[in-house]
Order: sequence, then C-alpha cells, then structure tokens
Amino acid sequence: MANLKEYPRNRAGSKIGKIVIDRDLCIGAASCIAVSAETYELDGENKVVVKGPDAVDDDALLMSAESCPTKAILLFDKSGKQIFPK
Amino acid sequence: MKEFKYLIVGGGIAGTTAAETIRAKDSDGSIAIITDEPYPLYSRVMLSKPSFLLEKTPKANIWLKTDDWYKKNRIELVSGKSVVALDVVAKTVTVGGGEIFGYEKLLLAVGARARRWDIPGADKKGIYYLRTLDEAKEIAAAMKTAKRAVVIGSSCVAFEAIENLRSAGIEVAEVMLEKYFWEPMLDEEGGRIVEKVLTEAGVKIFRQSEVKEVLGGENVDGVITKNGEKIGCDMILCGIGVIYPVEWAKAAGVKVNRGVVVNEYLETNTPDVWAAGDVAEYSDVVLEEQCMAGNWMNAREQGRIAALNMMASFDPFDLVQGRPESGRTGDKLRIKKEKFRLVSFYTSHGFGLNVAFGGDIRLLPERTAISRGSAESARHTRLILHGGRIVGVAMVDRIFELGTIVKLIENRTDVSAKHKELSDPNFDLKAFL
Repeated sequence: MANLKEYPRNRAGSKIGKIVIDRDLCIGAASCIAVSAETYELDGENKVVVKGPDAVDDDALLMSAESCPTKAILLFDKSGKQIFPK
Repeated sequence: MKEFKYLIVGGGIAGTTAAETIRAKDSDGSIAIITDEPYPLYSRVMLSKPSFLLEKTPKANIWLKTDDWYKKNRIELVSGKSVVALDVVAKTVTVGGGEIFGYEKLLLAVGARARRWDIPGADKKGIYYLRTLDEAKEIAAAMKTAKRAVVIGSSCVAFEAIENLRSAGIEVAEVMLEKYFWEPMLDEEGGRIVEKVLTEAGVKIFRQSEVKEVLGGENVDGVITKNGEKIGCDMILCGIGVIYPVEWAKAAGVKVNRGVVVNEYLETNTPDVWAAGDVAEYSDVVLEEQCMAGNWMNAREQGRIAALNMMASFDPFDLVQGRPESGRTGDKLRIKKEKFRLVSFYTSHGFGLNVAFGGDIRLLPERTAISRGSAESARHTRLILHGGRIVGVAMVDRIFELGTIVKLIENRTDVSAKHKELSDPNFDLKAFL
C-alpha cells in the first residue's frame, strides 16, 4: 500500500485543497525545496514533509510539484479531484 | 539556417529548466533545445528504480514534460539530433545531417553518456548500459527472460540495478575493480555494510576483478576475468563510468578539462557560451574549488542559474544608465547576474539501505576523513574535512543527519577543534549549527 501523507491546504482563493506526499516515491532530491523552501523541508529520513501548505500561491505550488523527478507530490482540488500529476 | 536568441544543447533537466526559466522572464525571445534523444523531458533518476525497470507503476510516470508543454511555451524541441560542430565566431551549431542553428546565447547542457566497453566480445548481444530511456527500456525487456546477470562496477546505478535484478529473480554476480563496493566514495567500513546486504541477498561479489573477455556466440553467455574466473550469464549490465560528449565544443575552442570548464557564473571561456548540469566543471563558491556534480538537484539549479545569466548578459546597463533602447524589447529584462551556490546531495536506495552523498567527497591529499558509526552498527557516516571545515559527506543508513551536515558545509562552519564530537556517532551535530 502506498505510503501517503496528506496536508490540507486552506489558503484564501486557492483552488488546491490538499497536498499529498508519496513517501515511497520521494527520494529526497530536494527539487521542490529549491522551488519553494516555504512549503517543504526534509525530515530525518530524507523525505519531504510539508511545513507550510498555505505558504505560496497555486502557480508556485504547481511548479514545485512539477519539479519532482519522481512525481512524489500530488495536488488535489477542493472537491478531492487529483489535478497533478494529470 | 534557423536562428534562436537562446539555443540549448541537451534536453535533460538542466537544459529544460534553463528553457523554462528563460520563458518565465523573456516572453518573446526565441528558444530551441537540441537533444540527441527522441523524447521530451523524462525523469532520468527513475530509470534505475523498480517502478520503471520492473514496471511496478505505469510508464507514463517517467514523463516530466509533454510535447504540448514545448508548444505552449514556444520552445522548439529539436529531438533525435546530435550536435557535430560549433562555430563560436559565426555563432552557429551544426547537427548530424548538416542542419545549422544560429544562436545569440548558447547553453551546453549535454549531460553524460555511459562509457562503452572496448574489450574482446563487447559487441555481443546482451550487454547493457544504463543512462538513457532507450537503454533502460532494453534492460527492462531483457530482465523478463534473463536468468543470470553480471554487473560491472560499484556505483549508484549498479547498486539499484542489482536490487531490481534480484527482485526479478535473476542471479547476480558483481564484478568490480575496487577492493570494496563504492570505493572510494565510501570508506571500507561503509562499503562493507553495503556488501553485507548484497551478499545476504545472494549476490556473488568478485573484488579487484576485471573482465578480460566476453564469452558467447552472437549472444553473451559468460565473462572471463583477468584473475581467470569464468562467470556464466545471459546479460551484462556494464557501469564503467561516463564520458562527456563535448568533442565538438572542445574543437571550437571551448575549454574542456574532464567536463566543460566554467566559472561561478557558469560562463565558459568563450563569449556567449555557458554550461550547466553533469557536464559542467564549475567553480564552487562554497568549496572554493573546481567541481563536477552528476545529480538531479545540481543539474536543475545550474540550469536555472545559467538561464538567468544568459538573460542578464544582454546589456544590463541600458536600463540603469537610461541609454536609448537598442530596439529589442526582450533585452530589458532587469535580471542581475548570479553566482551558482549550492551544496548538492543525492541518495541511493536498495535492499533496505539508504546511501547518501553530499558536497565533495573526494579524499584529496590535503584532506582528512572522520568516521562516525561502524560496520558493526550497520550505520556509518564519513566526513571529509578540508581546512577545518566539512566539505563532503558519504553515509550509509544515517540519513537523519544528512540535512544537518549539508548545512554545516554550506555555512562553512569551523569544526577544526571538534574532531572528538565529529567522530562520536551519538553526538548530535545540530549543536554546531
């Protein structure tokens, strides 16, 4: 079973309702941190955790998810529909 | 001849990030990427993972950009073409077949290619290299029927490939020149921890060994080593290092040492030519030396910085000094030249072990190494020190302190009087931050 960690997002005006990290896929390449250090950090297993789910706007958040070489960052809209990866 | 304001050679993460960075700031400038692979950007790091090689997840997952993305961003993707010549005076690049591309700013982000064997029998079917998607597809296909594999070399790719081969039920013999796995990137204690998990998984290891000849008819059926060992196999995965495909740049006068030599701004010795990613031999401002780093994190950030500096090189004084417009709207980008500054790291996973490398882990003559942990504890960190500072780290299953050590490297923290604490695996290095 996939090792998923969910982070609700409540940023005003955002279409994204939830960030999910697939910890099995995450290899700690830290690309997402380079794009948005406000949103992510690495934990003691060198896996990404979300520290600021509301820190950046939707465009920046999407860019950070797109930067991941293993597509370990999943984004969902407010209705629970996955919007990235498509 | 097609002319581009920004021409990028290499369609991997460095080149593609450069194109993306340029398009975000310069909406009009023409951009082209020339790549010798027939694909849009994909995830090279996924090629050695079970999800791809063992087809555990849908293949679509390796794609990071679609053809539509290039169209939407007006980035011309010239795929399946190898560059054969560069003319830095005429400012043109020629690809195989003779097509010529003009540039105003050129980025060399060609990456690396797997070095090919040149021993007797190296042309037989069943010998594989792992660097590109096409190579990985061939390996995935071969693994469906192979029974016995020989793996050559002791690198990240070899480590991850061995786990895939074993998961597929294939017998593995590991043949390496080194005295222990991952020498000299790990020290012997770290290497032995890795070898223990390999041996427990049934891998037969041939140390300080080199294949003399590949045996078989049309297809491989074994190898014979210089020590006289004969090992039967029906596939060989050959990891004997990489080469950088930049002969054409060197011939044009671009300075090439191991890779393309660039300064801290990723500028080559040639006007209007930059380099980024695996191929760049760059001046590292943290470590104060020329470095090469072949990892995703480094390539991505270098692509970004090179792109900013390519844009900044369009007469930045026009705006500041209020000189008349040169007539080009795209040139007033208000971008300042930036130094590349990053302590990159990467990890490798297999058989339940996490192995990580950060900074510059070469144990050069003027450097010292400090061990934390032991083979008995199955956890080990090796710190490389230079001038009282940590400059590199290699670790086996102590990944919890990777972030802290990378920060100590970044901060250039003086640890010259702290050797006792550094060598105590129970001492929390966060105390030095």
